[in-house]
Amino acid sequence: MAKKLSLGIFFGSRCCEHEVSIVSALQLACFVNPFKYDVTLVYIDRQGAWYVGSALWKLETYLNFDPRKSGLTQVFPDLTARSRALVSAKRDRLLAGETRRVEVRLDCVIPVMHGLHGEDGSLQGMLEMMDVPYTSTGVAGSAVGLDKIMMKQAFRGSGFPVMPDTAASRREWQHDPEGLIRHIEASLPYPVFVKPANLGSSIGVSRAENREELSEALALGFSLDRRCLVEKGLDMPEEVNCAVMGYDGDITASVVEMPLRQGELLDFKTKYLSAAQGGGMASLSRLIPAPISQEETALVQRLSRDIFWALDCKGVVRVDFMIDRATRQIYVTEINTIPGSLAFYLWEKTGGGLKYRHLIDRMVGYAMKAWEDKDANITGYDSEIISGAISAQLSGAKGAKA
Amino acid sequence: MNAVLDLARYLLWFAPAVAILPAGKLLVQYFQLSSYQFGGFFRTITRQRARVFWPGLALTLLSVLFTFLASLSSGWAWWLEALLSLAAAGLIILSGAVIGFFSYQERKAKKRLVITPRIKRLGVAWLLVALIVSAFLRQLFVMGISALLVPMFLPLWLIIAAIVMWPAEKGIQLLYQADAKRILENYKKSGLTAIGITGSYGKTTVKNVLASILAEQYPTLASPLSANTPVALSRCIRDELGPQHRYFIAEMGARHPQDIRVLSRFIKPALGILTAIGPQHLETLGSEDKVRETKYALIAGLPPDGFAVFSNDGRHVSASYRRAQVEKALVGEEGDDLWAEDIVLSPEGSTFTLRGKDGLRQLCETRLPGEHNIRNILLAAAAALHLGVSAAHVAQGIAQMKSVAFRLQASRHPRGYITINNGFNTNPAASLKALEVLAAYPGRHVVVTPGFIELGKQEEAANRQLGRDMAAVAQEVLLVGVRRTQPIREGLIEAEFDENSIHTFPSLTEANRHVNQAYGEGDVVLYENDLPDQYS
Repeated sequence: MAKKLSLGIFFGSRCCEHEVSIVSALQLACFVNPFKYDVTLVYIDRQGAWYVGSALWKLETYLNFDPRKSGLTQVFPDLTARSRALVSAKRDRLLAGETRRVEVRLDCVIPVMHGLHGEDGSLQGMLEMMDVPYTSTGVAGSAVGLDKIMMKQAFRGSGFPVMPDTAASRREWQHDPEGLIRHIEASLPYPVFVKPANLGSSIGVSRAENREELSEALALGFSLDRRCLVEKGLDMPEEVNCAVMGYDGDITASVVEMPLRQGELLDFKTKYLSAAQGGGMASLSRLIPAPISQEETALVQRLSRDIFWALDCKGVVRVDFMIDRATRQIYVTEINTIPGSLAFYLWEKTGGGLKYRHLIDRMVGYAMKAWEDKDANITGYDSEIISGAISAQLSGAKGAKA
Repeated sequence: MNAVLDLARYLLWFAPAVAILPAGKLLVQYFQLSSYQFGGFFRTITRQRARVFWPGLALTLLSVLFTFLASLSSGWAWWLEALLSLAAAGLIILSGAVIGFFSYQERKAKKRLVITPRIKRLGVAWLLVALIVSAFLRQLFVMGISALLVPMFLPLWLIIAAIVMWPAEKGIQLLYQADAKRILENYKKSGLTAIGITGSYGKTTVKNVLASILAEQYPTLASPLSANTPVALSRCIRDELGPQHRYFIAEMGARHPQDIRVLSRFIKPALGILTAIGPQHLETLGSEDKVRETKYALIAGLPPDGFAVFSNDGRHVSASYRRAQVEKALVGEEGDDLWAEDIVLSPEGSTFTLRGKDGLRQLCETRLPGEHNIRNILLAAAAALHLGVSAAHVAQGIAQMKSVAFRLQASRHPRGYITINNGFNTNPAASLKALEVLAAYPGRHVVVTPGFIELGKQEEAANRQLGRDMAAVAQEVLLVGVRRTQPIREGLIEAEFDENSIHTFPSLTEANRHVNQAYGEGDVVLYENDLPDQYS
């Protein structure tokens, strides 16, 4: 029998959606095929300390997280390329000094984090340094995907339909609030949305109908982030989401869903109850497939695939759209490079239906492929620069200063 | 009042015991260079009689003189005698320092004395022995006897101190080794694979090539240059082995029959490579058959699921291959598990096709010069392929491999000539290969060599052969040392080498000066076996 792959599920971390991440990760861990993988849960607490251990499998552990609890071992990632080790250190014998132990070596990592320090390319950068395959989008795509300002610029630059917007910084707001508001009013009509650039969730997002509300919205936004996106709003748009999976040229779009907001829920419940056959609250808060035309569904799926390609994504992402009820114009809202629950509920209803277990296999496969592609890139780093500089020193030339 | 005088007399009495410490610095250096082995140390002392004994004799002379001068004052005012005694004591210690400075400086030490904790312990023990002897001599009531006997037998006190310290040092070594073993076994639990390499020659190159290849796959630690004893490997493991490493490559050297067995029990490698068996360290090992038995301990010590790689030399190593009970590979000749085809040699390196019994065909390129290095590469490649490195990565690792420091490292001197350094632990076969490399370079060929050491009975014959071999390749030969290089000169002349092209120098420094003055563009200078200080 082939050796089992050591799979690390990374979750938690210093961000607003810490708890969502815990739930998503434990859910995912339950679906991993135990005959194919050895799963290690790797929890990063709110202070940024890393833990492994059996206690991480229990939700109660996270209620009042106590690192001293039995079944938890603090580990340190070894960043040496290809070491892929999570190392613990303890003094187990008198006079023996500190013993470093390799708790686990990871063959592949599934990051299940939302927002900063996990979805924003920072963790991905660390995983690239460690040279370990991982299932999420790479550094650049993750970073662009999380920064709402850059994301909009990338979308617009690639020709995707987006709402008009403008960007603002805390410095502008502090030095000249009037000027900033005038500038926004000159570029966008009310209503507008103010969104902190780097908060993955909808925290801090507010809608402004007039100057007073805009001022309040900006004050809130800049208390949370240094940069904010101000975007033209749509009145009661239809919202649809589409998940995309793949790597490089191999890209698949899922069935399109329509998430429902609290207010809308009742109206739609009576109208589309038959469509949400799954039952339970989860299926009641969204409609799968979304009640939009076939052409619109196809367009949403095509745009989703193109965006996936444009940001050089990997694994599973979810692209969110707004549809103007009046004009039926479709706008791209944002991309989530690590969507909640990895959008497994969409894949289960796509095509013949992809089980979560198999979705994980696919994601690991893409991670491995991407790593192999990178590995194939690297050729010699042969350079004569140092030896050249040394001979320059020896011969008295001040070449190094040039 | 008399207490002060007594104290001054005591100080004068014990001053020679203190003075021997700085005066004997060179002796301590020789002891360190002999790896604290008494056998080698005694051989060095015998060889370097004059150098070893003159500091002691000079100190004897001076300390007796100063003691005598101070004694002239007896009967004078007590304070004058006290003062003169103190002055004499000071002068004796100063003499020790001056003698030490000159005896040590006289030799431009290539490998300086390193003040390790062990050297400090030895120094304290040495001082104590000398002081105890001085105290004992005081019971004889012979005036100035300590000034005469203590410095005169300076080396004896060192030897006594070293013997007294020996059990303690052995104990300290074993503690370090036990700790290193604990660290090694701890990491083995999380997937570290230990690899052992032994052989009469080529092991450093094989180690470096293998490290370069395996690093393409996972973080790899290779023991540093010539760290091939339990002490050196313990240090390497304790200082350098970390959780990141997945491979640890240990070079295992044998000077004594049990060496490899001891190392193999310590490192417990899962994979062993036997590079070559030839006449090396015969002085301590005896015959080539004994060498073979010594080296085979690595293979015998492998676990049942271990793996062993052998070089097909048609002799001792091939015989070891047939004997091995574990999974094994033989490399070198067509039809073996691995061999090289379409070899193209050039001074800048070689290209060849790696061929395997299983149909493997992989083009490889290396900057290691000479055909002999292709055999070394094959050994490393066989080990790496067994460990799951792909053929493409093997080729990449080989291409990344830089020419091993001190092993046929070619560099261009500002004056235009090319130097090749083979100046480290050479042996007849490696010298022959180095000469082949030299021959591959265009231009006038110069060899700088002091000849072979530690070949026991074969030493003279090997040096004579070196002379004959050099005659075929070199246009100029620079011999370092007069007495020891006589057989080389005879070999050269036997092979009708122009006697006017043989230059003899008392030391490497003078030889280097000549190289710098006499050679330039178009010359290739091979440094063959650059001896440590205790020879020459």
